Amino acid sequence: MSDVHRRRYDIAIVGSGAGGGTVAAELAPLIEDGRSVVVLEQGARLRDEEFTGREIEMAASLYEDGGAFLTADGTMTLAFGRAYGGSTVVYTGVSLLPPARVFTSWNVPGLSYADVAERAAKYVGQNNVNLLAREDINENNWLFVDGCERVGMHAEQFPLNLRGCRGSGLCNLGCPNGAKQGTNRVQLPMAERAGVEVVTRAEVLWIHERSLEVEVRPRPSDAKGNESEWPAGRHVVDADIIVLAGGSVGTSALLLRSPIARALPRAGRNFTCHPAQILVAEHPRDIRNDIGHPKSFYLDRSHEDGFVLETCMYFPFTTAKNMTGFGAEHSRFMHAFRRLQMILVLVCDKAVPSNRIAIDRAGRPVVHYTLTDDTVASLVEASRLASRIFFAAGASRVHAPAADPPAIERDQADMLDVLIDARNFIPGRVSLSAAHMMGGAAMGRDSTDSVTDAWGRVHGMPWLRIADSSLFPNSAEINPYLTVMSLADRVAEGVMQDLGTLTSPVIPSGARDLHP
Amino acid sequence: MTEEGWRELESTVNAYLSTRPAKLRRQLHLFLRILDVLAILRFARRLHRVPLDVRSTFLHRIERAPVLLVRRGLWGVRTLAFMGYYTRPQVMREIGYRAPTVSHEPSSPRLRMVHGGAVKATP
Repeated sequence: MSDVHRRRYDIAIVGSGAGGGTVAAELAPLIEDGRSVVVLEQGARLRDEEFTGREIEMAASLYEDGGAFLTADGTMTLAFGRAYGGSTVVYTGVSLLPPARVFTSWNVPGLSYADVAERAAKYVGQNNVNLLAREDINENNWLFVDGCERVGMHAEQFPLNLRGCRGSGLCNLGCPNGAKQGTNRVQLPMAERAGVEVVTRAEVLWIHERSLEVEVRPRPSDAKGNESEWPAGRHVVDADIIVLAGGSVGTSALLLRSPIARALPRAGRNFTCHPAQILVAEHPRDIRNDIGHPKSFYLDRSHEDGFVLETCMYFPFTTAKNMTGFGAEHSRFMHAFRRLQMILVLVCDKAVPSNRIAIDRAGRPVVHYTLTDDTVASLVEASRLASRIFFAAGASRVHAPAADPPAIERDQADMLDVLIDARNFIPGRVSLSAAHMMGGAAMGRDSTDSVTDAWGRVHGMPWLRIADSSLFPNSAEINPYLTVMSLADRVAEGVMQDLGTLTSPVIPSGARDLHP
Repeated sequence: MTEEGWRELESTVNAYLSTRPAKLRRQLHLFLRILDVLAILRFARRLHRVPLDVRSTFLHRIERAPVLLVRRGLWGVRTLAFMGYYTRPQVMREIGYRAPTVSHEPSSPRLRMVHGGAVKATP
């Protein structure tokens, strides 16, 4: 064990995204009291000039598995961030809460909508959440608003956490202008200024009681990002309190491969992910689509029909991959890129026992996910409505993955219910993706129904907390980041309250590196 | 597509595959062999020698094959092909993608900021 660096902190946080970054900033004032806090992030810390907006290189640098993480049966891509700032580096900045009925349905004793909403208001201010001015909203978004009105529905505007957006449209590849106010721009710098240590390229392998085994990786020669703040190699981090915030998949896998998993029968359960499809429509003229913020409006049908439609605009490869099919028809749509309008169809799936996170023999996460009949029905219904909106907005043809062939011409617009049908929804043929992984360490009453209580305290392990979307007992039914931040704020408050009983007396030197 | 275009496509796909597990590369190789075998059984020639329109019809049938592994294999191959093709700068220009120039100048705020009250709260 001579090569192992042993370090000691009062609090160790695993992950630096919406959950970990928030907890780090909230606990930062403890540094002044002589406490030590470290954040361990598996991904890299990129320099501003490294955000180039190029699809493959940014995906490789910012996403787990380069954005190609697949479910166990290979039929759905799960996109989640792996960088300083976690998924907040690659989201679109959508900042809103689920409706109160979602929290009621979660039925977590001690968790109320009012409390979450009050905390959310703090992050609305801290992360500069605002509504884009009308003149900064592009035509791709206005066509959606217009189409919704023409079919008798009302699109709502997304609150976004932007400061100085220049409309690059590259949110999902990491904002090249630093405009998106993720934890990489707000909470983590705030925490670091106060003295919290953030260590990148640090993968936590196992959790033991009040201890973490960590592998720090060297920076590959051709990779973006800085070297790690710690020397490469194995580190053991002892901490009185450990907070896991590695995201739904990361946190669940870490719990499951650690010895403590034996005491957590619900670890990996309650997994949902808002399965999504991109629908594309061609207009007879060029529209302003790939310049400007891509996601300004949404149509919330979650309560009535189990889905949400959101505006979106993706890059050429992502668009091509997510459309069904190939060949001449596919190419025709792609070559009309300047005339394309896009809508993201997002289904509010429900937690079922068969959908869960597990690990393989090497301890890597494996996500088992099968679409239920209800989910497929919602995807089909959502695709029909999105297609109606496209045509109402003036589109000449629509590409719907659950149609065969996928191209639907304007003169077929009255046959959408026939053309878009569940029988065409063949896994492995249609492209499915998800970017809202939730559950795996759900809140609840006790260890028979959940992993933590309403404050993210792991049942029976007061030294271990969870502060990310894995806490969700079921789907949030809307983009989850503000909810994650609010729950993380609760977790941080709980840590503060329990600090005296769980931590050792303060030693003035702060972090103690026992083996430099 | 030009020779240079093909080289770019292959280079992108090879670079990507070099980052993937060896098992996945073996599966991909095996799937391409299976496609060839199926083409030989159906057309008495390897897939790349089958006329384009016939090949396209054949692959569209594969896309709806009853076996998930076969459908997944084709989905993977098409994804790699799209990766190699649609990330080429020339193709992005041709299709009309206005790839933004990333300048990294200090940002100039030009948005009207609306603070507070932006959280959706639908009881």
